[in-house]
Amino acid sequence: MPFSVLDFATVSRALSRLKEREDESIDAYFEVVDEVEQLPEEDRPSRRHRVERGFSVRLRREGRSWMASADEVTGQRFEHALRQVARVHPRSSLAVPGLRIGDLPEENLEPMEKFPTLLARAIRVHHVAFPYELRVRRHRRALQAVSEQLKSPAQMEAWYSLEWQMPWGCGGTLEVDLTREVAANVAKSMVAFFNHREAASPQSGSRRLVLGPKAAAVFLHEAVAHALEADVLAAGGRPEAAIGLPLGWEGLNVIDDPQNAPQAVAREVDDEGSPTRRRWLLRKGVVEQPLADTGWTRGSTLLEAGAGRRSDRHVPVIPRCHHLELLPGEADEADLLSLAEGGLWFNEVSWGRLDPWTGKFQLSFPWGRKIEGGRLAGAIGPCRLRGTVAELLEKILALESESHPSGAGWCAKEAQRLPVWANTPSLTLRDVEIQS
Amino acid sequence: MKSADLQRLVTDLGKKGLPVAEAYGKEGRSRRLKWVSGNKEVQMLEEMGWALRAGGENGAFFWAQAGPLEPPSSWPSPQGLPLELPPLLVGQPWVEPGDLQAPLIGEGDGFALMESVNRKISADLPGARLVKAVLEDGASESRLANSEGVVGESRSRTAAFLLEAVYSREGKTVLGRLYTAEREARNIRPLALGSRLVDFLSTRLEGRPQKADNTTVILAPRVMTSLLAALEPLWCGPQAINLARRLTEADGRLASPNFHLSDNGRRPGGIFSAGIDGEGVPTREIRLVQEGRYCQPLLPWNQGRGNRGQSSGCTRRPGWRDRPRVSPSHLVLEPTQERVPSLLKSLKQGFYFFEVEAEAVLDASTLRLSIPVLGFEMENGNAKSPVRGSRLEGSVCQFLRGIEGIARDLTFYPGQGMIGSPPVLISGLNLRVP
Repeated sequence: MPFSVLDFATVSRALSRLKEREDESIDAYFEVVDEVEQLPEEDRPSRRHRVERGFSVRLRREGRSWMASADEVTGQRFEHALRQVARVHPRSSLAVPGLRIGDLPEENLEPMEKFPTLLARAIRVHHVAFPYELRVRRHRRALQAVSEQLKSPAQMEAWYSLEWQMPWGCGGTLEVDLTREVAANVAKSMVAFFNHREAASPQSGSRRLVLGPKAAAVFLHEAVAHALEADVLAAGGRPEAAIGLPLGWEGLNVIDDPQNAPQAVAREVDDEGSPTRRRWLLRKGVVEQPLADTGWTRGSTLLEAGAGRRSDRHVPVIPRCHHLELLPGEADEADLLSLAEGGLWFNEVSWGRLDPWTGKFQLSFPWGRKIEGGRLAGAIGPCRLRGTVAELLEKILALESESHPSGAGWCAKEAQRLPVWANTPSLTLRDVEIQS
Repeated sequence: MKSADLQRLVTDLGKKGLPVAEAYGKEGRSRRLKWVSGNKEVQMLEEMGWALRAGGENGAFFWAQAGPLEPPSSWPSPQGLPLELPPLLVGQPWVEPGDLQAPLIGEGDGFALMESVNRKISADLPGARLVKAVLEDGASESRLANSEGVVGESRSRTAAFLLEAVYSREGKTVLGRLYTAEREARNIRPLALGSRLVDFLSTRLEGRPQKADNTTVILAPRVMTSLLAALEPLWCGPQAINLARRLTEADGRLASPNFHLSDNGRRPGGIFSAGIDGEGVPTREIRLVQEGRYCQPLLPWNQGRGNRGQSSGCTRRPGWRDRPRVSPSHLVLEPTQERVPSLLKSLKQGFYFFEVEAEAVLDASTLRLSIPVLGFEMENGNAKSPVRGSRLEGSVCQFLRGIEGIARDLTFYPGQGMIGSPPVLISGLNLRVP
């Protein structure tokens, strides 16, 4: 880990010198980021590397916060940042001589280099051919939060992102490994996209839907996770006021558990150094614990921190989920389809969007299938699901009896892009508004 | 990070078998003030990083690194196609604007700006209030050196302001969002922004969706600049030429005869004005459309040949992490001398749209534009009823060739670069309710 050379004691002492009152807080955040990108050969250059090391310091005092960030980890920069947030010259020295952090270890990029070939082979298995561009990225991120009292465990996340572009659309996924199985799944998605590229959109109207695990994950991420972030709740009043409110069907249990994410991206503490927890967002359809960071828990006896995330040192921490789980139900695939007879099935999602002010929600599907005779039938083209969060969550009829890791993707909130992970079953919804 | 350091790095790379190389460095500082429902955050950002594009016959790589210029112990192996870099080109002399040195806005002044907007909207529209404001005021310096002898420096200064407000009445709540950019935060006019938000919110709450076929509309600069931004595939890169050919009619015109469009990387007073672009190529004005006839797209240094058109410094690099990319700097639809009231008077029956509910979208397969708009139904030059929840639609040809009038008040909005347009009268478009 790059932080084994960080002088925590000196950093903590420097932070504590800025504290004037008990109700103030001051902390520091160090990060090392490494990203390698493999692009189509026609893109010049087709291999890109990005390496970053930096820090930020934050002081919270009397309802305000001050943050200073820099792209170089040295004692001089750190002292300068502390003076920037203090805005006065403390009598005692803030010097942190010899401050430094290390690098991430070198890595074998062979899985990334071989993946395009694996994918091409996996597509050929389907006896189709089509033009596409593939971008593969390897992401690594190590972070360390330090406060005047606490040194939390360093955290490390490593994952791959895949983006493919075809003449008829685009898609992508996040994965912790690039295996043959991943190549086979990505190929399946792309081939389905190609095969259904000319499918006609369904007629607009009210329909029953089955959402496969990928689509269910995005649906819950937008409709539940974002809706229950403390800053989003605050738009309509006090975030705590949501606790105890029924939000959906009583069979709905939605949890954010960063520690239960795939091992390569599991988190013990959040980006503020607060311990993460198995947080029940909804228990039996009732709001139990919104997503919050320490900014929202100060002065609140009901909210719990541990969901603070940031995309990099230059932006503030905001509440966000990391690994969303929907607890499975009792239905098997046949049950889900028969409940939605005559309806539509979707698993791929182009995008999802929640308007926090109105609760209006949209999910866009690039293609889907009809459900006829209890089975998946002919393909349908692009369409959108529309409704309000409250209405849609009440319309869940059944959940599959098994959850699947799926629906991992990028979440962009306030221009901060972060990976989010999920483990969800398929689900059936009744009487949902579909727009062509 | 000095230019000499970048030059030394390029020379060293040549000795290590990477004869084609470009080193780019950027340092900046900004102050970001955020106000959300009464909570205030102040951020001071000091950014520093550099990037390298290097290679030879065996391909190339891109390396970007935060912090001072400290190369890694070894470079990655070049891959893919060889790298091409611009030669040293001499442009017109460039005089840097004098206001790049101005200090960043202070905390007090910045929050006072936000409070002015809040007071304005609360006073003009009881029930409305600001819920979020983010002001970022920053300055940066960038330097570049390449193996072809190009050495360049440029400075920039930008202030960006995001505002979100809500308006509640009779159990209904609507949200309004504005984004604007100036060279300096001190140039931001809070009362004018407050008025814009008031119009946005009241129209959004009171407006009703409307349908109309083959209608005439006046589009305020905010709407027209969004449409011009969506048409970027028509303005950038050699592939735009084929698209323009598809859209050009038998009379040789892409747009109506009063449509003149240009881009100028060194526009006087422009927020992104610079003597060189993101690859060190001198910037200049390029005419893209003249009297409705397509002249050429923006072409980088190695794409201007034959009858494609002239190349210019037209690549932009938002930061050190980014590769240079062809993009407008200051894309301008030329105004006329006609006043807006006379344009409005000429509108017997139609609509006036002054804001967008989301950005315009171009369907690349059907070449149709669509944009959700806010405004008023008009009759004999007077506003009749507010309109919202409607999309203005038409083919690219309908939008560009339907322009019957262009007014004189040029206003810029941020997009990919800055985009400027006066109000425009267009006929033959359709208004749809989604």
